[in-house]
Formats: sequence, structure tokens, C-alpha cells
Amino acid sequence: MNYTQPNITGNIVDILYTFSTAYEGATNITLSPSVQNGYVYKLKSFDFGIIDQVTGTQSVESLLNMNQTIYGLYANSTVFNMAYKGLGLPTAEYFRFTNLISVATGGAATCFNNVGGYCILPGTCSSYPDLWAYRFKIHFDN
Amino acid sequence: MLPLATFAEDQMSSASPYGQFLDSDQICTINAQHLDSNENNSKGIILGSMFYQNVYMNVSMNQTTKSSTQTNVTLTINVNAMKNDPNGPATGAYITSQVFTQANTTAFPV
Repeated sequence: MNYTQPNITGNIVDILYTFSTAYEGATNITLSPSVQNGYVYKLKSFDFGIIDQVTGTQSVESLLNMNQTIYGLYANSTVFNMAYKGLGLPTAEYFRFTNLISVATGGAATCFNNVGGYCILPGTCSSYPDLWAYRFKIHFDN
Repeated sequence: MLPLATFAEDQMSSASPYGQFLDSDQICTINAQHLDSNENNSKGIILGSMFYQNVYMNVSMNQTTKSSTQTNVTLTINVNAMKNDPNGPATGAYITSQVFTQANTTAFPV
């Protein structure tokens, strides 16, 4: 059976649904993948710490996967993945994060080193009000 | 800017494979996970589904040729995102081009 693929051009998503008016006019950022047909989006920085928008100051540490030797084409990049639950960090950056979260919680955090591991704290999240001042600063290279 | 709380959730200890290691019925889980860097799909930082609680992503696929597609994404703060405290510094999720200088105090005191 012969099949000729139609040569579709244009914005396919706009055909499928209408963009919600709730988001129109809001601040946004548009990103392109690092290569054609790609799904990897480049980063300039990926930091973790406390950032004060009012004073314009920050105290952060980098969690950027910048090691070209280890990560190759995936260095300095992020992937959007709805099938993954949380934030995925490559090995070196995960261990750096566990050190930082340990300091930020005064040693209350228990983090697991195995692949798939994450950090847990005893009690409810509301027991750690100071921890929620911490944030990730993601600077996309678009 | 994305709050750490984006990836946090309350759980019963019994609901986590690691809950047994803490002497607590309830735990606060930070869903920042260790990827296997030996796998190509785990060498980049993954922004998973919890990311979308705060950020709305509009995907635009533009097929330029029969075999080539350009996938652009537009990120907007979700209408249901964590909100800033009106009486304090911004703690919610937001998009900005603001440049920050080094604070006098460290977020990670040794």
C-alpha cells in the first residue's frame, strides 16, 4: 500500500485547542531546542538558594550539569518530561543538592544515594517554614 | 524562579520506600531525585510533572519538512501557581529578567 505523508506546515498545536485567555498578556518565555528535531533545551545556569526579589540579592549555589566530559551533548541542558514526577538531577548535581539541603535543614534531611533516591524529612513539610524560602533559579539559554 | 516547595509533598512514612528509616509517621518528601548518569536520557536535568503545578507550558510543533520538526515551548506562570506573600519578599514562582547581586548573608552557613 502506497502512502504519501502530507507535507504539513504551520503551528499544529494551535489547530488542536485554543490557548487559555487566562494566560494572555502574562510574562512568558519561549524556548527552542538546542538542535532541530531535538527535545533538549539549553541552560545558562541552574541555581539553588535564597533569592530576594525586593533587594535584588541572592545567595545561591550552582546545580548546573556543566561537565562536558560526563554529560557530552546533554551538558548545560534540561528536558521537559511529563512522565517523570519531580526534579531529576544527574549524579554529581544530586549529591551537591543533598549537601545543600542538609545544610539548609540543619541536618534534618535524610537523602538516599542510590539511583532514584531522594531526600525526606521527619514530620510534615509545614514543620520547616524556613526551608520554603529556598528556590531554584533556572536561566534558560534561549 | 521556582520554589523548592514545588517538589515537596507530605506523605505517610508507609507510603515511601524510605519511610522506614525515619522514626516518624509522617514525612516531608523532596522529590529531587538521583538520575543514573550512565543513561543518556538521565544526563540532563529533568523538569517533571510537579514543575507544571507552577508553570504552564504551551508546546508549538512546527513541521518544517517531512522529516524535521521544530518544537518550541512557551512557559508562563500557572494561574494556580504558588503565590507571592503580599506582605513579604516574593516567594512564589515567577519569570523575570532581573539581575541579582551577591547577598551579604549566605543561604548555606557552614
